[in-house]
Amino acid sequence: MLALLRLDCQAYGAAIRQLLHEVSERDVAIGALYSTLERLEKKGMVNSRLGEATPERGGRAKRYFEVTAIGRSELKRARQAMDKLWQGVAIRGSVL
Amino acid sequence: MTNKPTQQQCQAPKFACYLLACFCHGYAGESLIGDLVEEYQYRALVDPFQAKLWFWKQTVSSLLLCMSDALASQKLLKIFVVVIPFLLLPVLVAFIGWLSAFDLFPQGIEGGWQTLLRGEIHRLVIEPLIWAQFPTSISELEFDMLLHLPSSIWALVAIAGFSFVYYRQNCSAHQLAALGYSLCFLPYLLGLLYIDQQSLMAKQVGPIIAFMLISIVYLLPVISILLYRKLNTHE
Repeated sequence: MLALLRLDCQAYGAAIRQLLHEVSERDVAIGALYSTLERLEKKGMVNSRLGEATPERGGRAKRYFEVTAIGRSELKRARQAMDKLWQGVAIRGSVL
Repeated sequence: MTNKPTQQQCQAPKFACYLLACFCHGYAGESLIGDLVEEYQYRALVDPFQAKLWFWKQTVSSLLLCMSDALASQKLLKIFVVVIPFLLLPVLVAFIGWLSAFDLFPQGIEGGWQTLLRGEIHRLVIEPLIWAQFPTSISELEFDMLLHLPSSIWALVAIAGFSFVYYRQNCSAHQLAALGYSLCFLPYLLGLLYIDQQSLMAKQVGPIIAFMLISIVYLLPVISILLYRKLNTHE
């Protein structure tokens, strides 16, 4: 969902996959990405719409994704939970 | 001088695209293939061989995911729950009718008696020569051929157990299906095991085979109806 927010109106499968690949340095499976996005859409956290078909995609349409209001509030909640969990956790001797 | 990839080398593997189109339709479908083809074009400009490898790796992982999603879907289970009793029950009833009335195995079935005395009904039930006699056996079928006390007792106990789990426990439809069909086919498996372990005479095998088959006839429709209801309430 953070990748969708970062890509804003350019959030479609290949772009999301590339961003995740750059950030996490792992080759993310496109099938896994779509599977996750489908689940998020069912939960109402993400919306999708079909976009334009381009020749370099063999005439296939892009599916653009965006985070919904529910998704944004869930992200905030998850961040607050993460922050709480990190409080007082020490890694390699330093207190965060 | 650098080797520039040819146009053919820049084309995404067609068979991989075909496989993805066959198995990954639905939500992702065309967009997923489009995303892979788009990224493949950039990768193929750098190294066509590595790009092909990458494309196939992505294809295999996507196919596995699509297939596991399809298997886990309730739609497939619903089809299974409807199709299995519709296919199996008429065949079993016809087979029970044939078994109750037959004197000799049709010519062409080798070792029919031995197979029957070993309780291996799954082998006999797929014999086309026996199927050819099903119309006669169905026309001569009598209701009391399907009455069997031990099977009735087992069916009642199994339905009571299944209903308890169905109404009291918070199980998923897949878990219920696993339990329900295990209860249906348990007598058959136990019967096979018992006949295999004991040296039984022909007249002792008959009641065991009746228990193995009639239990399924009693249980399968009830379990399937309950599972169908469960799947509908989930929707």
